Amino acid sequence: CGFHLRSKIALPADLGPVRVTASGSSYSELATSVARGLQAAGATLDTGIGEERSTSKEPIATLQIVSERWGDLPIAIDAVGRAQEYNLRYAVVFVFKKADGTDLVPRQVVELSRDYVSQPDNATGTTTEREVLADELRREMAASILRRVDGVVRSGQVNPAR
Amino acid sequence: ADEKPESWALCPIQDVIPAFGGAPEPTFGTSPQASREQRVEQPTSIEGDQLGGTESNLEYQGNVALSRGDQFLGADNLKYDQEKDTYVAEGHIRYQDAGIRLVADSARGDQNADSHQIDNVRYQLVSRRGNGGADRIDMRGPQGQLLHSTYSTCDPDDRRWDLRARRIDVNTDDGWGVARGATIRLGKVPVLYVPYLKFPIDDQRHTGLLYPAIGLSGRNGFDYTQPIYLNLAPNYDATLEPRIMTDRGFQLGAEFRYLYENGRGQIEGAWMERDDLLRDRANEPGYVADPDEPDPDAGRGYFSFRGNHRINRHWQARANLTWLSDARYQEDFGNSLYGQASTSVTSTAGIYGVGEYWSAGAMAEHWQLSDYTSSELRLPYNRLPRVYARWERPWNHWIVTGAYAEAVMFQHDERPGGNRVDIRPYVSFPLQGASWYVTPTLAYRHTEYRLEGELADQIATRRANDYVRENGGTVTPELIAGFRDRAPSRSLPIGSLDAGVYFDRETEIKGNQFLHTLEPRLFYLNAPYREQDGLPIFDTRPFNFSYGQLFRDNRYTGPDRQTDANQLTLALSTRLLRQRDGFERLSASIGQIRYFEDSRVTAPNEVSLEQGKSAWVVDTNYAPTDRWNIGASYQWDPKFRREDLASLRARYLFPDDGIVNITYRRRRDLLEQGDFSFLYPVTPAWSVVGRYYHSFEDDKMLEGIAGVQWDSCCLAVRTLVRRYVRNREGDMNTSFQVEFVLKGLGSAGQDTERTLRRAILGYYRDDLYLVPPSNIAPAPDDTNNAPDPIP
Amino acid sequence: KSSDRNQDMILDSNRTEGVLDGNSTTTWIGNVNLKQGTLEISAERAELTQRNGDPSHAVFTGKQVKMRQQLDDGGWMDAQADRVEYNMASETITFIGNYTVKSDRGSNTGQRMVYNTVTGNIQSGGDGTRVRTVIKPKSAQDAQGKN
Repeated sequence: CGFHLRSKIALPADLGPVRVTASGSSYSELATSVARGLQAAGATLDTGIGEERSTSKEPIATLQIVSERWGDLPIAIDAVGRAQEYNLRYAVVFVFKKADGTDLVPRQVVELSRDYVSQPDNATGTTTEREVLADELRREMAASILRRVDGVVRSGQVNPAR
Repeated sequence: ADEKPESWALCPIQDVIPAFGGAPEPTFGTSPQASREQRVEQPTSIEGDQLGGTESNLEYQGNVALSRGDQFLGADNLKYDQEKDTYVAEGHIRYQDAGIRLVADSARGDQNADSHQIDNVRYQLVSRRGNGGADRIDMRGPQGQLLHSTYSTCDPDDRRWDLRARRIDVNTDDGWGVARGATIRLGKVPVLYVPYLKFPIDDQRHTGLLYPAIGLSGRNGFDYTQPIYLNLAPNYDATLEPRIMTDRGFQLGAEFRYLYENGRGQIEGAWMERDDLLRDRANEPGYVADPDEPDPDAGRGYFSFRGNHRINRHWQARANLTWLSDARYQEDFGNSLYGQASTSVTSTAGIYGVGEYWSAGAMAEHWQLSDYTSSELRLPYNRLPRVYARWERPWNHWIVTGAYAEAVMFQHDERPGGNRVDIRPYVSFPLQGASWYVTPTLAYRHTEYRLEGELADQIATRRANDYVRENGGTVTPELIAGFRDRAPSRSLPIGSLDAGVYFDRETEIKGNQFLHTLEPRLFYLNAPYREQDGLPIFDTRPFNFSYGQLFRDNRYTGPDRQTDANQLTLALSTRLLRQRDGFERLSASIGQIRYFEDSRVTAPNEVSLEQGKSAWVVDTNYAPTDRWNIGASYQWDPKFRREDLASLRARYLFPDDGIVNITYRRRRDLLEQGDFSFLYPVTPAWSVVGRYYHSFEDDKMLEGIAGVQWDSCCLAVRTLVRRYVRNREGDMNTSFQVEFVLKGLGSAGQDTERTLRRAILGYYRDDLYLVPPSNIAPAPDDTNNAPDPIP
Repeated sequence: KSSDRNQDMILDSNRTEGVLDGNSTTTWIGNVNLKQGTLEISAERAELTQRNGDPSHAVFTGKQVKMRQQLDDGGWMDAQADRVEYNMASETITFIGNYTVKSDRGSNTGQRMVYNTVTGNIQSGGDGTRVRTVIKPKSAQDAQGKN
């Protein structure tokens, strides 16, 4: 039915070193895990993951995490108005630009969410569940971004003419 | 919460006072302030048909034009004194600079002091639609004093509203207008007299309620709040909100916001000396006071502080504190379904660090009851403090070592607490090729407790009873003593293997090239049984079964219980990735766990897990077009041949601002609900808003909203009828809200926008993703608009 | 300066035509130069008319006649125009043909301007053409200064 084992992909040769930047001024776990993923896919990282930005001024390929936002809203209310189920939502806007400024992966939004039940009369355990879900969402977000980069790069190699 | 920006889309394109021909176009991008400062450096050029007077006192006649930098003054005739650099202009005056544009009868001014006095004026602010007339304008630099003037953002020949004031002070630099002794008129009808009103005149500043909020409800009676804005400094300001509720009394609210280089914060609070609602409620016949009811004579209020501070690149301090005076405050002061949804309020404060291979934090967490029908006893343990650290270091491509450690002191007002330390070092070998990966991981978990005596007794007594129930005999103190242990601990190895293969193929759908993937995955988990009945339950409970549960190494959310397991998860995912930009058109996954042995570990009153198959879990997300987003998940339990969860969620985004949300959720023995909400722009001016949120289980509507929104260039009117669950007795409340939004000035009447934003997710697009849970570092510059418990 | 009037007037050029008999017009051609106190005029051609021995009327033409005079307040005034008529009797100077008058404070341009050297009055425009004045910003004026 046309399915074949995934072939090895090489990031475009002219990509050069890659840098992953996050929106906030402080450290971003997402930027770190995406950078590690790119490294595993064969990219050479411009600086050690997340260290002080290299002082080299000449432009290099940059995967920029434009914004990270979380949402935690009740999605189910019981008959007396108490929240029964919450939806933890994590959305990231990212863009991957080549060194010359053109888009390797155009700017787009990735939205992931997990639901969790919270018994109105016994909230024990909701916080730890939400913390576990948040970790999973962060790992899943890094994987989802890398998948999209992989998808675009793969199409570039399979039919570079486009 | 940041406001939805005013949209001027419906306004006529050309300005109220068009730019004067021949006037220099304000250079784009320079702020009025910059162009004004440059002005003093620029030469002044005067042109006219005729020039008389002397070399120092020029007298120009006939179509005179004076210009300097961005400043332009046109007049019939103009006298200019070169010594004092002052001018007097008469007849058909036209004046324009980067901030303001006006037509007048006469003008006098001093170019050096950049001060001008202009009579009988019609003006328009360049940056925004604000326009009007004035008997006289005294301008000095950015400040303009308009005497006996009017201000509106409507078109002059379509005056939907305007503000008449003895004096309006306008400052085009910091974007503020202050009206003194102002009456606001809707059409010709004076609607409101305001002694002092500060309003933004450009887009720079967009703070909230500066106009009165007027409401009427059965519970509060006539409800009037008059906010007073205090602009204390460029980086901190405050708003005082005195509020009168005729049926309840006087309440003073206050909000203080501050911003500085490394952080920001917001302190909010409200206080009410005496709330008659409590007394009326207590006097109702047959009223039985609930232990957690507030004392009718005590004052009531709430306090909340949200702030974050960036210590350095790695560490950030964050606090999210909320205090309520009593457990019924939320219900008595909330006016939305979500306002009283939570039964408890959490306050957390701590420092959180993230580094290249590590993340850590030290925080304190305290719960407070916010639902009088529940009780303090049921609140979770406070974590005072909790210190955690996570470290993971890849040594090369196929070895990763890491550890997770956490130490917590659990405290509770009505239950005995204790301390717990949980350490989990692990090593994993992420072997991977292009199309496969195999990741064996070996972890060793050690958890130790120090319990308070009373808690140890309680656990020992429970175990003694269980023992007697199973093996007969009687519960004797010796038996209990046998079970008593103040320092229980548990250690065990946990082995897991995560493996998967990737299959791809190219397909084309409607002209778009797609990468279609097929990803089978298996996850084997093995952990020995450890007796855990002696361990307390501080912050742990069983996970809800979900697709994520298939790949977790514990069936419980926290360390108090660690499942024994010999199970294998089989799962299959497929995705359609559009190759042009990697957009995930479809992602669907299905999976199931095979338990090879019974799982003997249980949490109190939890049924133990028998050998066999878990429920099937299906999770899909499909976006047929960039506007549609459909998500569905389904869980079917083959053992009992029953459905555990069926949920569907669909969202459609209309071109400019409209949205439709449809959701259906059915969770066995818990809930079956449907929710349909929409904001549909019928025409650019008219849009309808609606929501119908129904619980099939209780066959009852939980919230219904119907509303119409009429929008025009400068005035928007929103009417809204809402029926929602108001209190814990399940009574419904119907409220009718009308709001006049005087664009550019603010809105008078109840804040319907906030209600809508809660009810219809995405009413204001940015709501689609809101705010971080307290323990996760938000992007520091991210506005923190938590669904505040007190709307 | 107003004191220029009672200074003697020196006029020279490459060549002159006409008779110096007190009541006729003499023409001076080729880099004509007139000096009277601080007043200096240079042009290509000048016609000087005398009335019973005193110079009453002078007309200068050229590819922009240049004129320079120090004002009473010490500042200098430079002017140039296609044609300059200096009427000693009425002590007015008339600039005709895209004139430019520059002073420390700024400059003034137009097609026709009558400047009364006694009162300092100026009269220009009114004939359908535009008059323009450019005043230097305060800082520039101070820099050049009147010191």
